[in-house]
Amino acid sequence: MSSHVINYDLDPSKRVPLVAGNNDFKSVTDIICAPVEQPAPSWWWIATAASGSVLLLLLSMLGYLFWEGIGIWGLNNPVAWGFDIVNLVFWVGIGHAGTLISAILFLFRQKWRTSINRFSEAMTLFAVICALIFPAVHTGRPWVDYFLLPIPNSMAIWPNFRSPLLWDLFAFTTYFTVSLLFWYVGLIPDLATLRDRAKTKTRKVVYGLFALGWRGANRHWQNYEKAYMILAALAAPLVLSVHSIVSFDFATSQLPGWHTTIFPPYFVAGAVFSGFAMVISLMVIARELFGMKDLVTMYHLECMNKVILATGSIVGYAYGMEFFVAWYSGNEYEAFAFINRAFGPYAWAYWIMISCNVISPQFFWFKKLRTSIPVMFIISIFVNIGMWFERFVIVMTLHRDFLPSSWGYFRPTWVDLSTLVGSFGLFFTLFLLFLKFLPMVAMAEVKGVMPAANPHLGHHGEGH
Amino acid sequence: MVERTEKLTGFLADKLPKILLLMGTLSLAFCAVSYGANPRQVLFSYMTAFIFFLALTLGSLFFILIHFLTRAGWSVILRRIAETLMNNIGLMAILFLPIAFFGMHELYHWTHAEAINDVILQKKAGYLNIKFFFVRAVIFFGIWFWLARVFYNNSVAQDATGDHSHTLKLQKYATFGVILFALTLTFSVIDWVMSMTPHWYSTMFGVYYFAISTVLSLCVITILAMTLRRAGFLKNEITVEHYHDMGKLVYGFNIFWTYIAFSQYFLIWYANIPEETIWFREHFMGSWNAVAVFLVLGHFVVPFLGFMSRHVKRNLIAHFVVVCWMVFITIVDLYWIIMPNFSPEGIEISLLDFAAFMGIGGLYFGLYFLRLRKHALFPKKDPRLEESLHFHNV
Amino acid sequence: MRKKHSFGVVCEFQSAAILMKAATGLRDAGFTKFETYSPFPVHGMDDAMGLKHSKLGWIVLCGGITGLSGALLLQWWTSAVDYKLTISGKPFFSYQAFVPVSFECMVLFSAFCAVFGMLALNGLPKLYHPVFKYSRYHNATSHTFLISIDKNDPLYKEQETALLLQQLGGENLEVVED
Repeated sequence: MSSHVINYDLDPSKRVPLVAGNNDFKSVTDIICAPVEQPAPSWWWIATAASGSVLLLLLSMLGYLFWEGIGIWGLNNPVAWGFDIVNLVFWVGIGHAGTLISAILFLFRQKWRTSINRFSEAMTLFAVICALIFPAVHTGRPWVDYFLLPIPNSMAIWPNFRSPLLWDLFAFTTYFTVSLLFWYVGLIPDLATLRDRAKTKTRKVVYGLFALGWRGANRHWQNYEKAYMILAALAAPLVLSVHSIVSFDFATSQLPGWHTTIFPPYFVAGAVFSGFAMVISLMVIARELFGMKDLVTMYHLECMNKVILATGSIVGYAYGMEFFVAWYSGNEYEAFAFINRAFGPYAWAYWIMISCNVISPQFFWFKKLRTSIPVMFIISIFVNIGMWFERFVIVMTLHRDFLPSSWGYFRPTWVDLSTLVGSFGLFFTLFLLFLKFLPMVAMAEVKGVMPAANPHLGHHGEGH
Repeated sequence: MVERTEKLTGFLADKLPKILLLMGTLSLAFCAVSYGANPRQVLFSYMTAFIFFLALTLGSLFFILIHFLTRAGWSVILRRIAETLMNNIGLMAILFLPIAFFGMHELYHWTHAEAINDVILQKKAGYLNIKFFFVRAVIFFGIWFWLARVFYNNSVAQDATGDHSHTLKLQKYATFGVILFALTLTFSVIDWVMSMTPHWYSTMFGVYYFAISTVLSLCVITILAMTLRRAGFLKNEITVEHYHDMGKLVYGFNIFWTYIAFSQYFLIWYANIPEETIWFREHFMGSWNAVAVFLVLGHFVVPFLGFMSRHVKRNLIAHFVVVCWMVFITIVDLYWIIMPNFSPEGIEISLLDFAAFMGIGGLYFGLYFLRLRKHALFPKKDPRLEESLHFHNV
Repeated sequence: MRKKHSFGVVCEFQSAAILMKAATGLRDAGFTKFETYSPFPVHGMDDAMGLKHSKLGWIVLCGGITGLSGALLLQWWTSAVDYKLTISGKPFFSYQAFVPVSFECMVLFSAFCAVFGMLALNGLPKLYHPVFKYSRYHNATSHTFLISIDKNDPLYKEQETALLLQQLGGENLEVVED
């Protein structure tokens, strides 16, 4: 077909088709439903077994923690916050891409999002679950977590609403709930499709129950689209607020290196950056294994890589501003905090952060590199590493406070490291289950951006 | 093909620029005459007006950069209106000269001789010194002027040829253009506004000014489009769909402004460190406090509730009222940021405040309409023009 | 409001464009109790069917106001009335510090209202509906488009309505009984 010869980079009057190949509505349904309806491939069983055993590692580390208390972690006196908060911020950050893709790109009418939003929303949920583990267990006594909730209790006291840590509780639970609702609302029409295609009674009943009796009537779609738009409009400021509130944990303090006004937008940009990188890492593999290359095309991947480049540059800007203002402030403690980051005992972590976050995405300036699967996979892994280290660097600001006699050094124990690794087990296990049991691409939405979906374009639309 | 009025003619093209230029010249002459009696007042009023129109120009530059960066289609029809605003950066460079020649002492007390005895200012002397300040100003205006010329000239050139290569070139330039833009905007506002309170610092300040300029330029682009519509131009081309979308952007970026302004205030309030809270203490003194409260209501609460409904965004009269309000409240915002340095005890509105705004504004829009009439009112051969004309909100 | 399911004719269309034309035709003919079914939302269909705007926005607005004021009230009462504690020298009613929680609660309540309001307006969950009895219904959530006309429509006359639908491009017409 002629549409394959057009170079969209050289002809601005044409738009890249979002579904490649010779697909119609039926074939799109078939492609997306295939992984759910066919028996799981052997690699899926192997991968699930592997990540399941890593999940067991997490569970045993948590069990050990509840038994022993947090003495088994590497925390010490100046560094009273360690891997727990680093992992929390890391995972919540990963969880920002999904809502960004579903909400903000939706509001900006970036139609390429339709192929990846389901996938990244699922990733959001699982990442937030991983994140929530850490604040829940970080005292070593999860059975007293209910103290955080404003419920009348025998001590007649209330949680401290002036504390950033309490805002976190509200932010995370709201974020998780709203993301879950958003994801589920998006799923309802697709669940109905699965229901109507079901070959067995069990599938029909289970998918049917979750589809809530959706029948694709236009009176449904009308309210549905309104709800989706409102959820997007709510989720867009929500996603900004969540990582801003995470940044408040640090920025409301008086600690040099933590207290800086640019933290909220800088954290948000970093979160989007890491989230997109994680989407790339997973999507590159998933589209290959599930044969979704017509739906998640190189164009989609390239768009995501451009977002990574843009947010990576914003993060670089924030690093630069912090450094400049630390000097410009004329405040010697402020200046020390930053010089210590770059040249102190944790300089190794700082330079890992800089090279992964600021330098590695710069390769995406070149079209050849940002459209190369191996390159984008490697860079996305680097970005994930870099963003974990960014939070590590920020938290390790603690190791040298105002009193040189109390300076120290934090070393993670094997329990710290195993818990971090184990959280990946939880994440991947949930993700593999998702890939097997739910449609990984939003069918109804992808169909909606196909040319044939435009009722004004005549019978066949264009591009076929 | 539909016949379209391409060129600006009539009152807006002939009489209005003359009236505006005359008004501008007279007002600035009034400022110049008053300089002898009250140099401080003249300079601060002038500075506020200058920063306002700079925000408008830079915001429009950002609109153009992001238009090409995202390869947007819907906004093509509005582009010439924004491009011509952006193209006024040369005028802004000229208008900066009075500040550079006469204003340094009054506006920036780090230039005073006694700054040498100030320990903190000594530490900043490597950055805050007059020579480097001027070098930076030349760099900022140089970069902005160059960007504006490249984008304007290529766009105008495409009107004649319809050559796609102009679009492709500008898409490329927009990538590093936006980085240059971010850096120059940040440091210019640190230099020209933040250093008025030289001890104070905030890493957010550049982003704050960015938010102001984006909201402002979106509003002014809308107002200009409506003015043209009223005079009978682009009536069928810029439709309610475009206004609806501009309204959404104004709404969204205004929430962004709120987010940035609140975060900056909130973090400083919460940590309560004296060297940072000093800025807010000065800006909450006396009647400035009332201005701050007015700002919260007028810049956030009113547009947040009033502009939420799509019916308001799609009703051109209501829409016009809201965007005019947003321009007014932006002036209040910049006034509140800059003028407490002049009258720390409370707000003192002077005739010169109006004269400065009318002066710079007269020259600015006089030149604007003179330039607008030279070329077509929209990029008539842009490859995405058709997409923009047929644009519909969903 | 339909009191009892007593269904009417259902037929199939092959593209969104034909569906849209058919819906416009039915609207112009004066039908009100007809419905279109599509695997994705078809833009412009609300106008084609002559539907009014969704009321969901108002429900969400109420939810948002409830969440916001509820959260402010909770924080004010617990921090400034019921058990006053001085924390980092801040006022008991530190409205600045109450912004994050108030905002989150506002969003949470709005989102609940958006989702459950949407379900309520759509009359879901409702696992049974007569249209499911249409023999080719299972394609309508995948790649085909349907129109159903309710028996309760004042203009409904089985023979003529069926003929009209066929003229509008409907295929595989069936009369579906509840």
